[in-house]
Amino acid sequence: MIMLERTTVMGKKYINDPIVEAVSEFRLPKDCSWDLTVPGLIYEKIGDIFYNKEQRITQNVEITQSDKVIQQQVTSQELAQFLNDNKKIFVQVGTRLITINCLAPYPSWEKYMPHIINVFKALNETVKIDKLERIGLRYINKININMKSVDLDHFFEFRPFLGEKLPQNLANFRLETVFRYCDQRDSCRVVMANTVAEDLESTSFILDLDYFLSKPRTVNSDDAIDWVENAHGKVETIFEGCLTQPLRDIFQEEN
Amino acid sequence: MAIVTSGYELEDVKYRSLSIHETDKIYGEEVQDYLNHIEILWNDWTLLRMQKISTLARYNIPDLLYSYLIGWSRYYSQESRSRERFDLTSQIEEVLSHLQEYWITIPKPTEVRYYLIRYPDLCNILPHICKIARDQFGIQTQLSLEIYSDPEIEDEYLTLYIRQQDYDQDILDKIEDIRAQYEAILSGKSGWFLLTTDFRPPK
Repeated sequence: MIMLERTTVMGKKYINDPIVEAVSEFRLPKDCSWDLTVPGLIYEKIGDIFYNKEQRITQNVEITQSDKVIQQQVTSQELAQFLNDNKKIFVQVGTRLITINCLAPYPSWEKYMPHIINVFKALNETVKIDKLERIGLRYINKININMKSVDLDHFFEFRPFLGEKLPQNLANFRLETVFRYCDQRDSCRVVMANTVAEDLESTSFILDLDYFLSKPRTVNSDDAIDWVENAHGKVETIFEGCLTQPLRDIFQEEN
Repeated sequence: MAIVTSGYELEDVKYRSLSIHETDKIYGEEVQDYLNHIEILWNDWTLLRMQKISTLARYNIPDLLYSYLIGWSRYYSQESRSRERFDLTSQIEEVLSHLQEYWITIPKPTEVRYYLIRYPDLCNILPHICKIARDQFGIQTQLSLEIYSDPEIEDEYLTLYIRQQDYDQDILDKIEDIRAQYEAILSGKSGWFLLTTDFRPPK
């Protein structure tokens, strides 16, 4: 049984939901067997829903250090993408990697979670999994405020602090912090930054919450879904903790 | 801030290359000196362009700076695995923010975002092309990133419009020069990008 820290905060639902993308990710250890047939075998199990097929190439940078030389290496990874009918929810399969992405409009956790369960089940039936290298649940929010100039203190509980001797008008900012959970097994990276606004009369921000397993191989495949459920509760708590009531009023909580 | 360093020693001379996301406030001058000689674009862990090792400048690096950089590169190495990105949104938002550094106007960001969600493989090359265009035309020219919809064939292009108050005589030649630089890397991309002018005044 994995360690869980249950929360008592019930998820709120908002009419103007700021979620633009949710990503659930499962990564397998390097000693887990994998071959080129795996994406196709997974597609056979989930293709009734995710029947559209596409490809995507991502670039990653890896740093290695040996003797006196530090090297950076840019590598490319090809991902098979399987998309649902409206292409808003899609599965990405790479080498020892699977993600379940959900673009706006976010349907609800009750509708997103079954896809995560079904896709992970398909992965589990295709590849022998013992422990997970990494599990992640990430929510990216784009928050639009219909004001040309925004007092961050009024809307956010997670914001940069500027001492009185510093200029108070920010041109751009990016704030990042990492919280630890479950005896440092899990981490949640919270990033807030301003971004390109929808128009000249409004201001936009990105609030990115990435909850992940930071100690590899500490969660079994049998406990992975419980981990995701717990992660969701944590992310909700952190999200609510970043907001003030005026911002919740903009989002308009559903009764 | 993110710093990634590669170090090489050839014939008792130290060569360094640096990729720097933001200028360091403590070692600002030394770090900025490198940026002037080493053109490396670094957009939140995605390497866009790097000069050959043979063109690296020779510098004597203060030991403290080197230690600082090694520390940062080790930190990055540990954190980098969690930084691999499999979402679409953060890459798109970073590209749009990056374009602001080149004073690119985006009148309808939602349309551009939606286009890049459908064709995310344009994200890696877009800042590069915009920088070339800005370098070519200077700050007085408006560069406007928009979606052009062809009414006859129901097609859409991500378009960078060059707009000037008084148009240069050779503007079309300049546009062709820039196109020649990026056309090769556009091939194989799922979306389409167009650099052009509509001879309208800047908005």
